[in-house]
Amino acid sequence: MHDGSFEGLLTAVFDSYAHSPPPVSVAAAEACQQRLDCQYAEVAADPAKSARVIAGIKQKMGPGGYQKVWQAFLFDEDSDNNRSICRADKSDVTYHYIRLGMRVGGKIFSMLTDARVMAMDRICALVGREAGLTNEFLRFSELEGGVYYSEIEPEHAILPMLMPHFVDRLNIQPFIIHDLRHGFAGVYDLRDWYLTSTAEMTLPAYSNEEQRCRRMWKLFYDTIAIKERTNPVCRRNHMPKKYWKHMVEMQPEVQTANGKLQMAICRSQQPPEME
Amino acid sequence: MDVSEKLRILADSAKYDVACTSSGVTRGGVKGMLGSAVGGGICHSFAADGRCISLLKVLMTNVCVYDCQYCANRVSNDVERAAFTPDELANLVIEFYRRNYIEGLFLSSGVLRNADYAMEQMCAAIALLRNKYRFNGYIHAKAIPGCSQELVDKLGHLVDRMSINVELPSEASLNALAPNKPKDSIFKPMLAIKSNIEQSKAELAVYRHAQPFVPGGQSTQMIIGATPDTDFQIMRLADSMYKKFRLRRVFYSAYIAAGGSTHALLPQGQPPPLLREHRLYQTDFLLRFYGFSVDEILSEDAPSLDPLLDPKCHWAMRHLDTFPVEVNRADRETLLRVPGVGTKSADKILTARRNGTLRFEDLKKLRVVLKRAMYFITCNGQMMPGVKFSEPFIYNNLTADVKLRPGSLPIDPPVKQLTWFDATNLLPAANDFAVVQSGQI
Ligand code: SF4
Repeated sequence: MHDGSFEGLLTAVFDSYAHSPPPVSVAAAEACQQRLDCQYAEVAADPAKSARVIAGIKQKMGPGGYQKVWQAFLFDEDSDNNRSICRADKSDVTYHYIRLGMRVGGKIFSMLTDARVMAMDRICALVGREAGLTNEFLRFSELEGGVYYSEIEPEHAILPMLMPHFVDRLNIQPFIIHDLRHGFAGVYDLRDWYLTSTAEMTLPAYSNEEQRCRRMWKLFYDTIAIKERTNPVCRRNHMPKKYWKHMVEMQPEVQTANGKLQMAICRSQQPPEME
Repeated sequence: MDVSEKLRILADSAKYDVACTSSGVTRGGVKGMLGSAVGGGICHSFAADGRCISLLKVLMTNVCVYDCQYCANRVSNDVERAAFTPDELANLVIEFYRRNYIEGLFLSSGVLRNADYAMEQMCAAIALLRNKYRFNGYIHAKAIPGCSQELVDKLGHLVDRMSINVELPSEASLNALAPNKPKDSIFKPMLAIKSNIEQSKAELAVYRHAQPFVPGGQSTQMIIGATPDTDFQIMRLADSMYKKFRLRRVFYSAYIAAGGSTHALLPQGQPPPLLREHRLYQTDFLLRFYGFSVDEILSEDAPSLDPLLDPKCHWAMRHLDTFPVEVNRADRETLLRVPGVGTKSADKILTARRNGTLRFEDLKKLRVVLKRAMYFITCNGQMMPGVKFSEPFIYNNLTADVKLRPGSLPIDPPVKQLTWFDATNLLPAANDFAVVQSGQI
């Protein structure tokens, strides 16, 4: 059992080599339901050990192997994905994957029908797919003062995969991507980016331009569809409904008190105050 | 007129152009500039018609002095007209891009005054975006038939992709419906783009910092079903353009009678031929990625694609002597000719079989879709249990899920080819569109 951190998991992998026969399973203490007929050992995260495991993975399996292990760790066991489809325990999956990889090396990438490899590929694919779609569908809003702010509710903790793409692309604007579900945010301040917890985060109101821009985008979106080709199933297949909540163009226009139309805005932090 | 009015009019008049992809260029971000480009392209939304929205697709202006009968912007049609100023357009692109709505701009234009003048307007807007606004994202521009070489050259150094639409698949059709666009006015600039691209590649090999010319390649579009041209003619033209002009993509666009033209040649009151468009895309993929030639799929005597079977299945049914194929031994080329086996599946099979003989269970584990493939393959010498390798058996199963007017499904082979007219009520299944987008046939 480890403490649930990435280092903790890798430390547990490291320690497993001191046991013979090796432990049957590795799990985060929090997620572990202890059984009476099994023996348990608690492992404290150790940066030195985990660094050695990382070096070992890179040497035996190459950078692709480490990428997988890292990406799998972003998998969230409490996600809908996991509860409905694969019911994987990422610690256990990663543990068996690394042990196999340390034995067979790069050959692991062609063992596509091995149960351990399939389990790993499965969770990496779920994480990767979600990160890919979120890259496409997340939307920024401009706040007063020129910070761009985005809210997402991904099933997995994919933020570390998103940040480099946007930092590279949008390097001229400070921005925040806020993962509501996991309660943390990625912040880019024009020089560096970092992750931070969002327990206390106060944000300025939307800029004056924001409403106008949203309405223009919605107008474009509604205009560009060819009505003779309407195909809701195809749209839903490409753009799953769960993303719609945070997409500007999928919000209705609502009537405000003074009779003006404006785009509905949902935002968790504070009620929108917009003209 | 305010900018949103213009946006509405100019997006509406651009919507029939199908190419909205942002692929073909990988360019990392540059400090101090806005934007980057991702080789595979990024879709940012999907419209109600299920088509990807990747770029802000608008016209510079829909004022046009030409009179192409299939087009709503033609001079003889009574529609609202508008034009962006370069600044208005550049601003829109930047605001949308900053919010991650779009990957960039797809700009075309009606012929305002003359071809060169209209091109200059486009150049001005794009130059503003690149130079003043320091925009480093994706730009696709449509060159205007009949424009000068110099303008092709100038625009090409500012954009990632250029296209010139052929629109109609034969000279006769062009002459009849697009009187202002002689064949040469289209193919000459296409050739110019091609040679500029080649020259630029050569230069880049020597001077790494030379300004690249149209690094994302050129593409074109053909309207399907506006004229009596056959699938054979269409694919032959597409194939020769791929070869002669090194096109990246040819797009096919089912004709929609939006322009209100009553020209005798144009079909009136028919739904857009979506299934036919779909089959043409499938054929296009077979040419580009699966090693097929046009003559293997279509001919003078059989000039139409089959509405009931995708073109690969259709080919396979006529070449049953080359099947079944042994999954554990066939080379990549042969695997790619198996119906239902796409490039991804073929590569997975090749990788996985290095570690031992594959069985049908293993194919399922690899997520190779067996729905069509199972009739054409063996694993270790065995057909899949329950599958008979006989023509009627395979044909009936492959066509079983095609929804058709009662009574018109041919019960026994040999296959009677339906004409497109018979098949107007056939629609591709929703997931077929996904298949076409990913190209896994
Ligand atoms: S040139 Fe022809 S196709 Fe282009 S906008 Fe004018 S009328 Fe339409």
